[in-house]
Amino acid sequence: MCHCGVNIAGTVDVKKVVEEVKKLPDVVYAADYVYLCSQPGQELIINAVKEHKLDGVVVAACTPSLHYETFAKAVEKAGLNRYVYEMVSIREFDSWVHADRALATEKAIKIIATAVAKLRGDKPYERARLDVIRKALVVGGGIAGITAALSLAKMGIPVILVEKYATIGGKMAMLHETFPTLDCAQCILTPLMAEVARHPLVKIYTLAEVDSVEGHVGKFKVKIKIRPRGVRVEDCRLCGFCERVCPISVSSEFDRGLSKRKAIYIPFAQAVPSAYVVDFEHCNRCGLCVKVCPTKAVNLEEKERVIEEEVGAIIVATGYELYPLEKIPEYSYGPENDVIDSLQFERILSVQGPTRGEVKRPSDGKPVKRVVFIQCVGSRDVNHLPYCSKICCMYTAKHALLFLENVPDGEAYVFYIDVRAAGKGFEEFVKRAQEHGAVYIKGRVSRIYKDKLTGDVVVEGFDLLENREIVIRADLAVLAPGIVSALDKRLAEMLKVPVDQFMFAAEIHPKLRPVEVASAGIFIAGCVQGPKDIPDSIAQASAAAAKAAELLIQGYVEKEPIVAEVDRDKCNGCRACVTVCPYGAIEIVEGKARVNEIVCEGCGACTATCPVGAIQLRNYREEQALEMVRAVMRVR
Amino acid sequence: MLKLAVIPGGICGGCDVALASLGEKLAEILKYYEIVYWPIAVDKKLSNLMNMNHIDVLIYMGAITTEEDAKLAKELSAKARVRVALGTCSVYGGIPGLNALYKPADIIKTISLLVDTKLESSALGLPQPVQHMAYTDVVEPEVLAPGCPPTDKVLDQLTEILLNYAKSGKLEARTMLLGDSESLCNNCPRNPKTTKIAMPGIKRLYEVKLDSNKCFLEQGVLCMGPATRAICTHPCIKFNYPCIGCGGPVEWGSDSGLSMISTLASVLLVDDEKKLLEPGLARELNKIRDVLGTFYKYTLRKSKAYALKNKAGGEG
Amino acid sequence: MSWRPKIIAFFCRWCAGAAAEVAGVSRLRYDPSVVPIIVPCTGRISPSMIVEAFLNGADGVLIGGCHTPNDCHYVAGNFKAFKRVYLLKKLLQEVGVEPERLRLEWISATEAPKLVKVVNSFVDEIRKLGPLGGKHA
Repeated sequence: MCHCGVNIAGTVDVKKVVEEVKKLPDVVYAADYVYLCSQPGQELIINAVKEHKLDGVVVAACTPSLHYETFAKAVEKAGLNRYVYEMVSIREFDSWVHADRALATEKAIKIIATAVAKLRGDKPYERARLDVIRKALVVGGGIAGITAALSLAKMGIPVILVEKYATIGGKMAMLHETFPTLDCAQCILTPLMAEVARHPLVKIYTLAEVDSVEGHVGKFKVKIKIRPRGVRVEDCRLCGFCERVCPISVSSEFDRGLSKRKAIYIPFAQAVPSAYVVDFEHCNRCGLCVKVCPTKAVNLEEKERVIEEEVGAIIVATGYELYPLEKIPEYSYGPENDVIDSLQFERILSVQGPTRGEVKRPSDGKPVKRVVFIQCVGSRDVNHLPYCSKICCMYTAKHALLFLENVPDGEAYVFYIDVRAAGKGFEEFVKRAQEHGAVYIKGRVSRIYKDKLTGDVVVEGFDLLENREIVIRADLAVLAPGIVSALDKRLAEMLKVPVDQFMFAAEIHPKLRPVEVASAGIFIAGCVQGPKDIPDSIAQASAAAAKAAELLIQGYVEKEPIVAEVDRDKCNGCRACVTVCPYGAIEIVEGKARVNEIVCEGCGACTATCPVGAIQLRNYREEQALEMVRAVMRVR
Repeated sequence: MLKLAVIPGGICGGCDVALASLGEKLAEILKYYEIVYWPIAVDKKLSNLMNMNHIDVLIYMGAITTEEDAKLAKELSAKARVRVALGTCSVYGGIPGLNALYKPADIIKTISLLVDTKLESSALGLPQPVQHMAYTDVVEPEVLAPGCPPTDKVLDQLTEILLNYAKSGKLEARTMLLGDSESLCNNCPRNPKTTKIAMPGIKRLYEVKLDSNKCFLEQGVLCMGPATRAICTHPCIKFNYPCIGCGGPVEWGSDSGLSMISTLASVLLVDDEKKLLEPGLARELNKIRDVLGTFYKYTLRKSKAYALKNKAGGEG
Repeated sequence: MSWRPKIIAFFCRWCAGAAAEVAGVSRLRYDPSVVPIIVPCTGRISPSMIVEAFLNGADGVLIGGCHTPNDCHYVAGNFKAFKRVYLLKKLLQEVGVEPERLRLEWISATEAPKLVKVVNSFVDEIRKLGPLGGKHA
């Protein structure tokens, strides 16, 4: 027991405490020292352990968060296991907060009694050291996934990048220019795509999805299902002969239905991997492409395959989708009605898009002079998505601005609830759109429909500031749909990523640990965590890469052995512990619970839950806890 | 011949019937034992029993609810070499044990409101009530055979013990709690397929169409199975009725009510905790109107909850 | 008044326990009738631990954990504690123990003043209720 100079001894009668503690069960030696953390203080402990052949040590001093490690080292130096040592605070919890000497002394005895009671049940444990496979898996090849993969690769860590579609690039590849600087999205994204494709440490699987995940932090066994591409990437010369002869024409996903593509196609010119791909769903196996391909790259017989990879960490960057607009029938969404979503408008603005950058109506190709933008379509709406989708205010301002620059005699109207432009240069950017002539109307739109006679798109809304109904006849309406998570339930369950009710991944701590989730070794980046713009996605992806690298570069995880353990004779397989474990560390094996010691974090929720006392947190067993309680009460 | 006495306390008769239903096994037992007392089965006088010097095996059924019960239990047990607490009332106080929450006088007063007979007067020769208790509150029996009523599993084990004792004159252990030392979840016929029990709120039986292949808890119905000793072969559960805990805790001396409260709290709405604000959670928890009657239907008298009751202010 | 209540406080290591450390460092003063027991998480606190405290002579049990919904270091142990305490309070009521003798409070690591307030007000409340069972120990 430590005096801490007068910090403890000034309020607590140290000599009396030592006398009383000597009477506690199993206490064979008790002593005090002026500064126990000093070298002589530590020597005192070491000598006492050796001299009295002690098999456990209680240190009563300052708080364990200050000096737990100091005394743990001393205890180890004395030849004892560090887990048969307890440290309790009689300074922060006692001498510093009380003035009455007698009462503080009594309280110190009680606090020490709890530690002695606990120590009597403590057992020695060894820390487990677990090798980490120095390799990472990134799920999702959008800007977040690409950033994370590149960042890891540049740190010398091999990366597997898995992308569902035929090309990486994600949603960002569809964008025309980006707010608030109006960089061309392709110009800043495609060099990164090329770089990640070139990097010798990055292996990209497109048309691929995670099929199963086993294992735990440091060693995940991942099966990846790869759909056939029908074209050997290394042989494709992008000559386009195949595309020209293909008789099948279907709508293009990349242009979001605003243009046609063939059943053998390349999503866009700078696609990575840079090769054509066969759309097996629509291909009629006519074989013309096989015949015309000069390098014999086309193979319509290719089969789906499953490969297996082992990785030490996984970054989930599955991105977002737009809220399905069929759920809002009053807005008559559909290019045939000239009511389109914001990504379609991006394609229209794009010089590579279906109209080569000319703003024309999808229905009849008439040049657009008047356009209405509607924000918060589905977002901030209790009937649809209660949350704010964050990026729509800014891209709508961008759309309005780009439209007005593109069509100098055009008119742009924006319906909004609030303009949320919190970000560097954001407010100024919205101002700029307004100064360019964009008319902002605060209010919601109740109905949009196509006037069949005139061909106009009629937007009926309410202007809150002027307190009147407003009807705008326009050439085009652009909806800004809410952002929804693209993470599917099966993947979330496989990876044990906790999700909220909207399938956004739940970070372990929203402030302190924003890119980690409750299951160790899994990190999140980009819109899988919630709606965010490109800079935020990149920042988060870099953070996720850094966090994953912490783990992978160290090469091992050291695991505190204070985890739950199961008495399999007592366990009845009722699954209550499996249910309550926040880390998915418990599974039922042969009808009984089994704890994965690497994954368990030692919270003890299972111990309190178990109806038959079969699962116990090491060194905080139920009987120890009860003894601690009794010990306080025994002190008189 | 060994002497076997069967003493009923405050009893519903279920234990009598269960014991009598042993049939051929009872005949086997009677090869070694003479029944010296068992009111419903043999015509033997209590006075004779009281005069006997010793009894070999005493089976006590029911709770102790009157002075008479208490006196018999104490005096006869002192003469018995092997004491058997048969039935949940005898072992844990059972349903009558819930009465231990009230003073005997208050119970009588309540009953008086319901019947015409004047109960307070001892002139009627009515037995005087005592604070209700289990047989195990009076003595420490060698054999504890819970069940309401005792199940075939328990009675088979008891038969085995009686026959072995008759042959060897010895018991295997100082205290034997019959049934299997596991909870009902082990070998539950529902054999759940899911890995988690996400209890979707608390539902009463009439509020839900029960799927007979799905864990009760997963359907929002409270089942004491996780914390109840496997003294049976799941008859209630097979009949699509949740366990209400007549088997008592898995281990002698543990408290199945507190365990089950903790388990329930863990699994209740476990996936919706964050969505629900506290009043929402509380609303579900408030559906448990009677905590003691729910979690301690059979075991209150031997529970920590009862000990706490005593601590808080004795009877009353 | 010479009677001093005996109170056990279960503080979780991460929030209420950390707040108690800050209270110490800030030299705040509070009533010494409360003896802290640090648990890894309020989700570790079993009903038995609480009942055991009362059975062994505690007049009150205070539990301090991390704020709901998001502060729990172990994701949602605090919700488990909330549900357990809620049911236990009902049980206490039924066995004639004032439910106020058991209190659950969310105290974040930064809320040392709240910790002090909670401890003092709890001690006051238990003082008003008197010893458990009405007898002076």
